Amino acid sequence: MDVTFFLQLFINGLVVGSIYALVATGFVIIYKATSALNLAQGEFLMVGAYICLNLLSKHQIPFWQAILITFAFSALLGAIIERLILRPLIGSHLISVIMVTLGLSSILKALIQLAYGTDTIPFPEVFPSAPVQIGPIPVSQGYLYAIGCVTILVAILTSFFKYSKTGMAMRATASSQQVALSMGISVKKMFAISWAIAAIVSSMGGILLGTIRGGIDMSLSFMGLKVLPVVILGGLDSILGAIVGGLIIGILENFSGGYIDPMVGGGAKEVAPYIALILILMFKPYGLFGKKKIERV
Amino acid sequence: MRCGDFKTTYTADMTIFESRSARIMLVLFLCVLFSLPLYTPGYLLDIINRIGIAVIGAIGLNILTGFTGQISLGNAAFMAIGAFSCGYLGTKFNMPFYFSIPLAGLITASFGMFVGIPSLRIKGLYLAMATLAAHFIVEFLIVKWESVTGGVAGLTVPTPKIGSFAIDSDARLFVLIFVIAIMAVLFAKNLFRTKVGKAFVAIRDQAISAEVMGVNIVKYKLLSFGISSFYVGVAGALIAFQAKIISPETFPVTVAIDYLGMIIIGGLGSILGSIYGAIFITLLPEILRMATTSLSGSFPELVNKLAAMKELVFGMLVIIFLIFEPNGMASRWHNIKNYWKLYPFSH
Amino acid sequence: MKLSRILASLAVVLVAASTSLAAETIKVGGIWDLTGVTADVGKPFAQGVQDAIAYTNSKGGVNGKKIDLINVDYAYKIPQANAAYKKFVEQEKVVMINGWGTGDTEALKDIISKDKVPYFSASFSGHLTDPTKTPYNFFVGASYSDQIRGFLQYVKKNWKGKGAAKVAFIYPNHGFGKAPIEAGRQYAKELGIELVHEEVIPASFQDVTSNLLNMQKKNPDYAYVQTTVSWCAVLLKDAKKLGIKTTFFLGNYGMTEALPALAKEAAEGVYGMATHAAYGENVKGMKVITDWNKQHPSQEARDTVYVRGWAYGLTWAEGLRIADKNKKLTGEGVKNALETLKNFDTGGLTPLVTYTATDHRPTTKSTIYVIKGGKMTKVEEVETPRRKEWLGL
Repeated sequence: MDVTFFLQLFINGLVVGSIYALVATGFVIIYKATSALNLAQGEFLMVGAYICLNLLSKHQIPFWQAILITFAFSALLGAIIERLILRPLIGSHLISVIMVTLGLSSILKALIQLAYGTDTIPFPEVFPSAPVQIGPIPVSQGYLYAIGCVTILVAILTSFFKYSKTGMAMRATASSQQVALSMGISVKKMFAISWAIAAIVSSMGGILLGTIRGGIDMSLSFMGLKVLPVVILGGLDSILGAIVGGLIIGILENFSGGYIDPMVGGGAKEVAPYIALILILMFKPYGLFGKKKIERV
Repeated sequence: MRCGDFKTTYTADMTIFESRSARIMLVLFLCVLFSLPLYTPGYLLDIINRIGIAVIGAIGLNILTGFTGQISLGNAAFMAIGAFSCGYLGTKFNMPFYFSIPLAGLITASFGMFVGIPSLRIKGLYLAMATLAAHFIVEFLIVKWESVTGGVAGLTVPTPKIGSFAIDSDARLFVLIFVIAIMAVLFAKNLFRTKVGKAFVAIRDQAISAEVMGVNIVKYKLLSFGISSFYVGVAGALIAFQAKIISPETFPVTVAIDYLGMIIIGGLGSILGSIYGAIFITLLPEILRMATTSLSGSFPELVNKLAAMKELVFGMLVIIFLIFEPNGMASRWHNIKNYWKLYPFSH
Repeated sequence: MKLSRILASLAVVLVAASTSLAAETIKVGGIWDLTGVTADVGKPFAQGVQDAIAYTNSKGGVNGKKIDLINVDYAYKIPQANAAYKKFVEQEKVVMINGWGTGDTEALKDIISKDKVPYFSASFSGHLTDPTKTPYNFFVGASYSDQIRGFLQYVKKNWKGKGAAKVAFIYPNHGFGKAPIEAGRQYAKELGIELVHEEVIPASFQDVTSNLLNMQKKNPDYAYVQTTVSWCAVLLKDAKKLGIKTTFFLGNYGMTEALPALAKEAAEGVYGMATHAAYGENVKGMKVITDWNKQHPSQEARDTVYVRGWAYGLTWAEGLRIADKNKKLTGEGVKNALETLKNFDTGGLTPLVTYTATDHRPTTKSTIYVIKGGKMTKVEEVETPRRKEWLGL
């Protein structure tokens, strides 16, 4: 057993998985608060990456400020989308909501394509590229920063939901909209905030992915599809599940790539999360941490 | 023009065409339709052929999603199975098309029923995810199973022949496609007059109550997947004949999204809606292309933006329809018809 | 009396003008990838061809006739390529087509032979070189198979270590990626080079760490990567992160000026095969290109793939010229005209082009470049043997 090989795959899986976790967290936040399924999460990631790139290269804004501006912009975008597109569809058929977010993803993809074209645009070097030695393995510094950023963001989110008034209001809305309304919580505001937060979280993922990959292009939006096995694994309404699920899927992908790909001649890495999804659906459809839904007639 | 609703027999109540004029219009329409190949140029006929295939596929998807309420994102995978089965049967066994198309449909139907098994346990988003996962797994299998599918190089599909009469031109393919399409529409329309169809609708509306009332959910859910996949498989087989070469790239997940768009814009749970949706979504890229090429004299950059514009317009239309016309074009058409039927007493 | 005379002569003039106007243009179809997964090289190629034709038209066109290049973006989707082809042949009645990708070109190869439409592809697949199988397919430059053979020759020449050199092939699982692999396998065996690993990567990806780690287990000295430049850049960056010591060789769609821009330090010391001159290189035909771009400045970066498109445009315009001179401006006539091209010089933009009725390989020469100091630097030219049994491989 080649330990170095294993560890390298593991670390790479953690890094990729942490980005999945970010996107999945956004998805779960929206689902918890509004019962809507946002299939455009991948596009939020892409928009975040492109905005940050624009700020960094065209306007030469230092990195940390660029991140904050990107967050502000994403929050605004999320809130506007919620107001314009999701608000009119409250209460409609599940498939309408799915389709509307698919339509939204088409629009976002198209707008980015019209603005930036389909070429890969180099992302400025933000983190030093020299690798750091952790034990026997060289780990790129960008990876460590990525994991660090994700941890900090998750910590902020958790404390937000646990301790802040708005966070508690959001949790209240998530468990029962009617009771929250009767308690005086502005459910509309909660919806808007949840979309804003989801957009912020995804855009962080996009920025990190841009720095790791060194370039961004339209293919970033495919992360949106990856998020689905993650939320199924973790449970649709659990943020902890999203994070754990993201890490697991990231690691699973890399192990499939490392161990199964050679056996089948490639392609296993891409299809492994979906096989995992089907297996989870068969044995634990509500995921690792999700709550079982009781159906009433 | 008729007014009012006065039926004295069950047959009259269930009839599809309620008036003499409706039947006459239908006959006229069919005559015009089948005269099209005589004077329409090849590339337009190609577009119309693709519309015909889309109609079959959209009806199939609507049976599953619109009528039975099972959300499926695996449409593209089913079409791929239908297409590759038909191609394989044609190349390996030299099977004539009048066997290979139904057989491809049956193969797809059995696969569809297999994919439908999870639907017995999960619904809504989870089912959509499962079908999406099925799509990627099927795509993977198609690429890997090279002996059957030709892998990434794809499969060249032999020309369908009746004896020595080859269906190799767009006009002849038109006849084949639209004969099948008309049979498909008729069968679907009739399906929802029967017990089976009504069971489907019951499952969509209130599955638990239906089960309590004695509707065998397992049987009818699987049957719905089966019938729907048969339609989609046949559509896939026809695509194989129309495109002549198929590869795993011919059926990406965007095809499934396009079909979902068709039935949502057209109208969930409506056969006529499926037809409208199919026409609309198939024509959309062509109209955009004509617009950009005619404007390309003044805006040469537009050709590059065509793909993005198609995405943009598609997304915007889906959202606009969902917000303002959630029941689709079919309901809008229904409203317009009623307005004129009841004029000047319309409400 | 007078009025009808005037009208009659006017009619004659109009008819003459319209027929001569109609005969003034030669229609050629262009199927490009401007927005799909290979658009990073598809766009500059398309622009190169378009500019070359605009330049040719500005110099009087083909024997006085202007070339009307009709452009379609098929986004690397084979069904769109099929639809575009149908439209070009049935509606526009083009005399030849300049296409793009391996997958769609190989898919169309039987139909274009049946319809007798000469098809230039930006695909250099060896499967398109045998006129007994694909009589109407052409491309301008050494085939992917000859490029990988050139790479293997270089390895054999420069390998100073003990035992056989170890190489790996990295490629996506589609027509373009797989095109040279079989040729590479056979030639490696012939040269006594050990092919230790073949790694299949996706067509588009965010990271290929697991794939590279897999390859590293076999410790190859050299690896040949057959994919386009954006994806090569991601792969090289991942390789650098992992500290992989293998020397990478890219194919002619990987070694472009975009590589150092995208991969930055990870591109240093990376080799690649080039079939066309780098932009601005000191060859005879480059002045025409740089002058044109001075007169028509553009936002887009210009690179070797742009030069490639330009070379294509010049080559098939020459074929049209010969066919038109022989008064045989049909598909078959153009094919025959192209097969009379012997040592056609594009001004040094690419090695001399020769097609014959039995061999559609324009050349077997390619040039090896290395990225030094962030720039494409020429290393040496390689020429692989022109063996008959390699036709179509």
